[in-house]
Amino acid sequence: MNKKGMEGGLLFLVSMLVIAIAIFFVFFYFKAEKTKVKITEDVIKIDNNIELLNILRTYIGDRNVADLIADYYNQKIMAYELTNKIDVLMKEIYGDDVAWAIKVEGQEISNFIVTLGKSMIKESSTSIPNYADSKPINVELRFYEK
Amino acid sequence: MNKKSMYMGPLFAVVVVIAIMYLAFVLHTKTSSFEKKIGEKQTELLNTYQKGEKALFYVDRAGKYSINKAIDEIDKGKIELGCGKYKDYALWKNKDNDCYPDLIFKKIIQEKLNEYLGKYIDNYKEAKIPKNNYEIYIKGKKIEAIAIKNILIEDEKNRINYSVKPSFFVNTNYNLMEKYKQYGETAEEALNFIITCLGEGSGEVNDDDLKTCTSKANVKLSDRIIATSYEDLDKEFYLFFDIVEEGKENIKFAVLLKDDIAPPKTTGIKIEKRDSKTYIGWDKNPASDTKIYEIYYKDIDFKKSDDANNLGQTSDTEIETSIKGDYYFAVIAKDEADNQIGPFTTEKLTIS
Repeated sequence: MNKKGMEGGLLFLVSMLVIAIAIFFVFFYFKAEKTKVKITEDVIKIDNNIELLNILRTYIGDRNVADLIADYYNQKIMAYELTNKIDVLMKEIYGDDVAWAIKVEGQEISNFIVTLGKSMIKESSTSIPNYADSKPINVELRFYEK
Repeated sequence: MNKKSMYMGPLFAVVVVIAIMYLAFVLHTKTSSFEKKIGEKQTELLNTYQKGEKALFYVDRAGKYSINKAIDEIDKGKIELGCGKYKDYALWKNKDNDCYPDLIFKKIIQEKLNEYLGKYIDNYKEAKIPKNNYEIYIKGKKIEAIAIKNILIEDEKNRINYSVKPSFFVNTNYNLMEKYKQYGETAEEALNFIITCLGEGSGEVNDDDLKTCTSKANVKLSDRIIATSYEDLDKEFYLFFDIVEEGKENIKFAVLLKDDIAPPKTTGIKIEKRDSKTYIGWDKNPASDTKIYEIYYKDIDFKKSDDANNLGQTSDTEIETSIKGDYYFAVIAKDEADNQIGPFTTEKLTIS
């Protein structure tokens, strides 16, 4: 290669570096502007499933709440029997100022009559097995302001 | 500049450009992380943990229901234990084998747990739970199941993996193994009693005799045998048990009584000599299932004559007795299950 060709190569090299640095500079400049983000506050909802699981595990007599719900689902006990038993348990845990509702496959039972206008405090849901067949029963628990 | 360094220049430039572009890309993606909320990953961690707990609870309950169902079905005679079934009763003993539950309880529980829990797991959509995954341990009243593989809860988006090992146990009202052993002993006791009764009695095995002996056995066993059945075709006799335990539903099972009871000794043997032949007769054997009489005679060695099958009468079987000397005769009844008594006694006849 002659001297002219050498100079051409060097010129190409320097030009490429200049272009790359320019691109990087422009890109970084605009991105740096975007990092000026607003710090905002938000609420992330976590389902209260552990509380529901603990309630389901709790024994009332010789059966736990999950068994009783399965009994209710299989029509072995009436809704009022289940409501009364769970209400005693809820009062023992949370005191008198608790309004709760449990949905068993969409069928709601609760310790209060009028749901309308009550604001929900927390909710949780899970599937429990059914002893009568292998299809799970969906259970939802909600607490409302009394 | 040599030829080598001539190419190095542009190559170096290309590498630098790529490096800068990559840096720009990394910076770009890093700025997007500001769009995530602080604590979001921690929340997902909690949610993943809750998913694991929900799956654990589900497996725990479903496992207990599955084991209880299996025990209930064994007790009600619904599960075939390897000896077959007769009518609605599982056989705990057949002609060739003993299938008492205490001998195979762990294996049956393991199989049924896999089957029933597998169905529950198929219907659970919130997590992937491994199937056929439990080792069974039986200690007294406690049946414990411990998983081989863990349940794995994966949150690929947040790169969270939560692994948890499920285990559960069922407490039974009493020691099942001991109970099944007791029931097995009761069944064996009943069988031995009935066999002895039949042997000591008329020696016949038919419906009436079996009923009589069963009634006697029942007095001994506090009415635990509820019925007997006689299968004439196969010469099989079944004893049905329906044991009521306090605080538990009935336990139903059946055992097969093998007809290995030989007809008793044939009596009243009469030997009559007419010319060069001897005719032999005897009293009818009391065993109602007597099929044939085998006649043996001995001059030097015992020989078997033709079988006599005119069961109600004395035989007209002829035996050649022309040579002088002592002859010995024996008549042995054989029943339909080919049982026959032995050793036999003989009657002597001297030809002079």
